[in-house]
Amino acid sequence: MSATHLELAVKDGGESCKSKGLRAGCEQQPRPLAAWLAVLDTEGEPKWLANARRNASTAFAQVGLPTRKNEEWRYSEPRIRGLESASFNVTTTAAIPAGINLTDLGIPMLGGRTMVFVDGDFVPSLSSPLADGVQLLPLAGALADDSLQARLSLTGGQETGFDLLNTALFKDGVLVDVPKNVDVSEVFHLIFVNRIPGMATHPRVLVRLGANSRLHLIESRVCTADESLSNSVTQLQVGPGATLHHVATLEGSAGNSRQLEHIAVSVAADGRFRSNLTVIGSSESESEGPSALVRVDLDVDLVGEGAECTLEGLYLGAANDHIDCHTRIDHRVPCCTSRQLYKGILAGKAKAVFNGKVLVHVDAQHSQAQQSNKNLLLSEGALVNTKPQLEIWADDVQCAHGATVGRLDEDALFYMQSRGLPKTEARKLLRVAFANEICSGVRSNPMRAHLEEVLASWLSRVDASLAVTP
Amino acid sequence: MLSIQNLHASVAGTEILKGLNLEVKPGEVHAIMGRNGSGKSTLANVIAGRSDYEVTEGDIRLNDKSLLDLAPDARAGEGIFLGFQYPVEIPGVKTSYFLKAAVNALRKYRGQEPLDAFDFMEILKEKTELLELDESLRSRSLNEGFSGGEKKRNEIFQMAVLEPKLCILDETDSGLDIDALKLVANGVNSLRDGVRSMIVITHYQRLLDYIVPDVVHVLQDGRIVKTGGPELALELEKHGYDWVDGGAA
Ligand SMILES: Nc1ncnc2c1ncn2[C@@H]1O[C@H](COP(=O)(O)OP(=O)(O)O)[C@@H](O)[C@H]1O
Ligand SMILES: [Mg+2]
Repeated sequence: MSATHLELAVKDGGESCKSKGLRAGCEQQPRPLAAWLAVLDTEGEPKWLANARRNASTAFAQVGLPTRKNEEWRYSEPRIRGLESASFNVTTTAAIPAGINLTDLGIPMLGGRTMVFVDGDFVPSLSSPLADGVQLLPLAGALADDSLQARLSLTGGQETGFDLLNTALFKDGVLVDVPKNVDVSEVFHLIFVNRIPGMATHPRVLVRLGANSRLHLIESRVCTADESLSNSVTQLQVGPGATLHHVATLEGSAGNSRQLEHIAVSVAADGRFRSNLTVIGSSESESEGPSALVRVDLDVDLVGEGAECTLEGLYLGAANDHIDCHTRIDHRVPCCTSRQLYKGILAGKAKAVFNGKVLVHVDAQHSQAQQSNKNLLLSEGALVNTKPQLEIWADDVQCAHGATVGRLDEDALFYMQSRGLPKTEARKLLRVAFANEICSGVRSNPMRAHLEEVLASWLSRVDASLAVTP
Repeated sequence: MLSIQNLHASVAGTEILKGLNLEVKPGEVHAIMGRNGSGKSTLANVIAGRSDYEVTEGDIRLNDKSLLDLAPDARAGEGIFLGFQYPVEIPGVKTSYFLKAAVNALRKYRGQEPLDAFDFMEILKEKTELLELDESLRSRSLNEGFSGGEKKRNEIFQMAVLEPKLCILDETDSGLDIDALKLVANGVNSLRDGVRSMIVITHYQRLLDYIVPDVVHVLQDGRIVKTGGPELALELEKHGYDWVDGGAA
């Protein structure tokens, strides 16, 4: 991609109003989320979709957003309380200023195929879709196909209010279809930028890999919009013998923004799913007010014998950040393997939650499950709630899990200092080493280099803020 | 070189070193022997500046400069090196990367320009051969998954690269088979240049067959209770530490 492609074109203000379902948005009246559901306009949409939206809307009226009573949402709840009645815009007529580029927003250019969305709108000038055998398309343009109906439903019927909101209100997103036996050599890079304050976006991503195919899918999500909501649902289907490597980065650096992503994965027999997730809060030490909530729910269903998943995650929180990482792995059939390593570094008054559940169903003999969560606290005020859970209903399984919360190893610090490294440098090396274990699993070289850079700069910002706080 | 006077040090409120005196001249090799728990590692750690040991009385001077107010990295800058009894495993930090950072931190402390990558690699290569280390160790995480012997050899390797003025080796011989012991001794001996001083802490006399000391001390209950030549180590080997108890009583 050439440098000129990085420039966002000045957009015609009316364009985004063409999207179906949300024409009411052209009125530019911010409305509460529930009110957006009430004015749902599905005119011109395929019947199946209109139905799906109406059903989701009805269901939402019953379940609403998660409350304190929902154990999985207990810690996030203070940051989503009252969200239904908060007003949002869901479409924008604001032009994207020229001269803004993705690199400035900290998004790496990886080569390969790119799909860019800014404030929920697809930006064709920055994107390179594909429709030749392998499909990489804006979802909005593909909805005439009613076979998408089945792919839209989330398994288990345990959709949260956020999932329902997404189904009712999603405007666009990405559709990826890889037929069987295709090794996609190009990296697919999905970029979602939220810049306009007070916007709510609900991007939907549907990915399907046919049998024995391979794909490397990278998502960058950046939010610089105060008071905004980004409510994404990403569904990944890994076919028999297929391999999906999914790398996702979420950065929520804006004040009082909520960035949520639900990633729902199913892996068929002998399929492989590998996830590398990086979640970064703010790290502006000054911000004392409400700050970002970033939450990722990663659910993996191992539905075919011999399916495997490896989930690696890194969360970095500072200042007043709240980061929630939830994983759930269902071993539904025999002989599946899951590995999980999540690591967190927390400074300031940041709070993080790791909630990892592994369910080994009654028929899932010979399951192997490993889960580990390690946390590094850099300040007194930082907090992590870690809850690794194993629920095992089969009897012939190998499962292990564990969690640690600690400070830097004093013995290691002294060892390094005694060789001449000043304490600050020794600390930095140890912190980088702690986090790099996750970054090093990313196979795209430019993406890995990017993550290492992001990590180093986050650590030095945090270091600087630790130095000024007494 | 090193002058320790009436050193008292405690950890967690318990006094471990109880008035220790030691003079090491340039180029000398001193062996410190003693039972387990007599305070040998404490002495080594206190000299290197470990913060959980509190010096309550006395002084430690290197070339007439007190070390007590210096952080461990500054002490390293002054020329102290401690080879650990239990080298720490540091996952995620590559040995070569760490050593380069250490070399350049020391150079900075001494007001020298950093080494360029090429010169540094030359030094690494030379010292790797000296200790017959596997090349791959350098690109592995520091001590991670190393065998006991590899860890100790890695300590001497680092010492050879950092070229300190005073080397303190804390039970470098423990856990080594005879071949590894010879390699380690060879590495240590190659650094004996008539100026560099060494304190070799050991429980057994065996190491001292290969690293022949100028002076041997016996440490007991936080004090040096006996000092002699290399023959003292042999006597200890023959009669055991009870013999010193009798002599000191
Ligand atoms: N960090 C520590 N905390 C508490 N006690 C310690 C600590 N380090 C050493 N000690 C105690 O100090 C004494 C001397 O230990 P050490 O110096 O390790 O002896 P040596 O190396 O001669 O075997 C022992 O009784 C040991 O239990
Ligand atoms: Mg000891």
